Amino acid sequence: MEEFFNKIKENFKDATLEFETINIQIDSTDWIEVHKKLRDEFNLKFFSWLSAIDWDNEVSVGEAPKESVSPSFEIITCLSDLANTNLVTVSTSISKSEPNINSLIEVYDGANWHEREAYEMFGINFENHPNLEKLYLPDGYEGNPMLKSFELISREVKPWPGEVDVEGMPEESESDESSDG
Amino acid sequence: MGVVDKFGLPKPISSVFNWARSYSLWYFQFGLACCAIEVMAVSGPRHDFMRLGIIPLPASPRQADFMIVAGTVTDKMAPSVKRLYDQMPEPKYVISMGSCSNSGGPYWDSYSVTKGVDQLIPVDVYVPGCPPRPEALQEGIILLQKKIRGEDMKEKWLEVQTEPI
Amino acid sequence: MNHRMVNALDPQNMNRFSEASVSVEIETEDMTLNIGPQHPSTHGVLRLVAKVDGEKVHDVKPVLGYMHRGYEKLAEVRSYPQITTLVNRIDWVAGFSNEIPFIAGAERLMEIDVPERAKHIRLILTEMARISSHFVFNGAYALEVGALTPIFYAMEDRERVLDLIESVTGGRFHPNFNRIGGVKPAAGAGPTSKKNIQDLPAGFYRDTKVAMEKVIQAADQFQNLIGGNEVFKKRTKNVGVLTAETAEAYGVSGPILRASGVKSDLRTQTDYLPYDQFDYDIPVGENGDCYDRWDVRVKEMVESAKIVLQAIDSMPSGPLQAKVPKVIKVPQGRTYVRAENPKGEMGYYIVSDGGLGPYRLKVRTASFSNVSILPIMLEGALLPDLIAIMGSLDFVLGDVDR
Repeated sequence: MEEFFNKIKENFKDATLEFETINIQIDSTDWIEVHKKLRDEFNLKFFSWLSAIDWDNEVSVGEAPKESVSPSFEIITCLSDLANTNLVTVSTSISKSEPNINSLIEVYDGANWHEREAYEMFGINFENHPNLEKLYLPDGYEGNPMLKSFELISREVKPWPGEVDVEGMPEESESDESSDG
Repeated sequence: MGVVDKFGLPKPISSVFNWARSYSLWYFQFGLACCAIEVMAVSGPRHDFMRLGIIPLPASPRQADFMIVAGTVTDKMAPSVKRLYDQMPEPKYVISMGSCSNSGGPYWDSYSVTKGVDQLIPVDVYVPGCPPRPEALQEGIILLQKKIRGEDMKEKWLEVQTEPI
Repeated sequence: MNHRMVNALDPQNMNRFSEASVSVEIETEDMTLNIGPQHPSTHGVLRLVAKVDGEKVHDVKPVLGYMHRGYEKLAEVRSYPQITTLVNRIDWVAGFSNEIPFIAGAERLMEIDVPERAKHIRLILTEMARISSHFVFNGAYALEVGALTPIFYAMEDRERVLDLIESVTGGRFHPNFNRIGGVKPAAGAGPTSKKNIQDLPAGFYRDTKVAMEKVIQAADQFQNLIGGNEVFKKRTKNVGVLTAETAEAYGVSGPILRASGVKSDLRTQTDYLPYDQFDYDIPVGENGDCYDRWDVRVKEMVESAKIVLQAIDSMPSGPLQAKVPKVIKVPQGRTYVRAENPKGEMGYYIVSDGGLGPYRLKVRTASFSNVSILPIMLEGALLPDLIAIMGSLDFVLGDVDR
């Protein structure tokens, strides 16, 4: 893993290795060239997945990020090599007001359905995609469910009471070291 | 069935009919999710439900007696459930198996799950569990058979509300 | 006018009749056939809109989403132990193997060392889940091709393996047995105090040995009964051929990739389970047709049984769970963990912000990429071949739709 990471670091300046995952950060204008280079020169021909993260300070589900972030979409792809353990994630940021990015169809055939899912869940527009339409949700569904501003209506009506601690067995009061709740 | 509506059936005849109906059920399997694998296990050799008289897999819903809804019903699938239920001829029954079809289950707060199949069709027996053990499903079927044996034909014909398609 | 009486039954004249051709222009239109969401099979609610011309299929469009339950959104409002109970319902046939990569990801971010005994128990249960999933595939695939008996054999053999999983964990295929830091210390009979924790039930080693021997016998029986059958061979050989380059570009993984000739198995790269201590083969196919995909899975069952037999002979002793705080908070960071599920490669990308639950959880499932090659493989196939090809891909709708 170390020598592969060194080879990557020579070619791309923003590469990090943390928790055994290599991440390359690039600009959204270089999206297609970088993927072509990774596919041809580094032999990363296996297209694993493509998805997005919604970074926002006001969230209606879950917890807000601890440090404040500038609202943006982060698009991530994951590529790997079948002959050994090389695996790379590539990420880029695009703005929320104009979410446009090039489609990866010309580089990898398998990006088709992943991009349709990202379009439907986040509202990101992939240019040059042959048929960008809904994949999962029924016709006439309004809204993009994975955005942080999308509410879960069932929780608004009756909020979750929080994590309730299970009562221990009567003989368990002497030994309390390992947690099994 | 004008005779049944006006005069009702005498007890000995109706008990024979009900006994025959309860032991020759042909079920329409609506296996959607994990509970469908449990239904397959119940039809296997270890927990066998053919000894109770249940046979699987009719050719179409129009020849089925009852329906086991096993698994999560999503909003996209809901019109199909209603349509297939309407295609079954009377008398028909529904068993709702598993907590997803009873009330939404572990996905109660999801944006695309129907919280319980009884919002769409009337249910006769609820079998709880996630997934219910094969013995629990067998008990549910036996409860349904008891219910059929205690039915009154006149009341059943008079309370039909759905128009078959 | 020259009339000649030709004797039609005379062998010399047969060639002339077969060369005569009738050319009539018939207008045909493609029919749109809806292989609807409800059909009796293990896959579930997948809808295919197929344009057929007689028996030949021109164009297939899969319509997904009938089992979409919104896992990624639900994961944002739950805490880590709660997500474990949710996640083993993704691939609902082999429940235990879905929890493992998620727990391994959380443990990697928290930098916990899992005790050896817990790792061995996890490996044994994962391989048993793989055997159970391949049994379901065997029975159901034979049923789709037309044989009605093998499914009953498969269900009976599978019940033995499920009994073993249930005696350890308490659940047949949604066990919830993993805890962050190890596995759940099972309670034996009597009060649960530190001295009385009995982790594996009495008789587990003996029952497992018996069951695994029977699994190997059952796989042999399937090879003879189904694989040697002429009808099965004719329906599956040279049907639905998939090349290795197409498979790689689309992200296809698992037994389908191995049947196309690529020797790639993620178990050799999994460092959170001790696969490197055991001896096993990786079966690879030659042509990439339906017969090879079936054959690879039957051989994998035998290899899994061998791994389990080696693992229970060399089980280390020790604690079952590392020391973790009572309220689990995972520190900031992101990681991608992947594992070899029975259906293919499954991975979890966890983006954690230091809270009770993840900020974003991306679930990479095997069947989603496997199903995306259907439009390519089914072009020009006959309608019965469509059923055989779909069955050989062995997907589960919970995996596809999440």
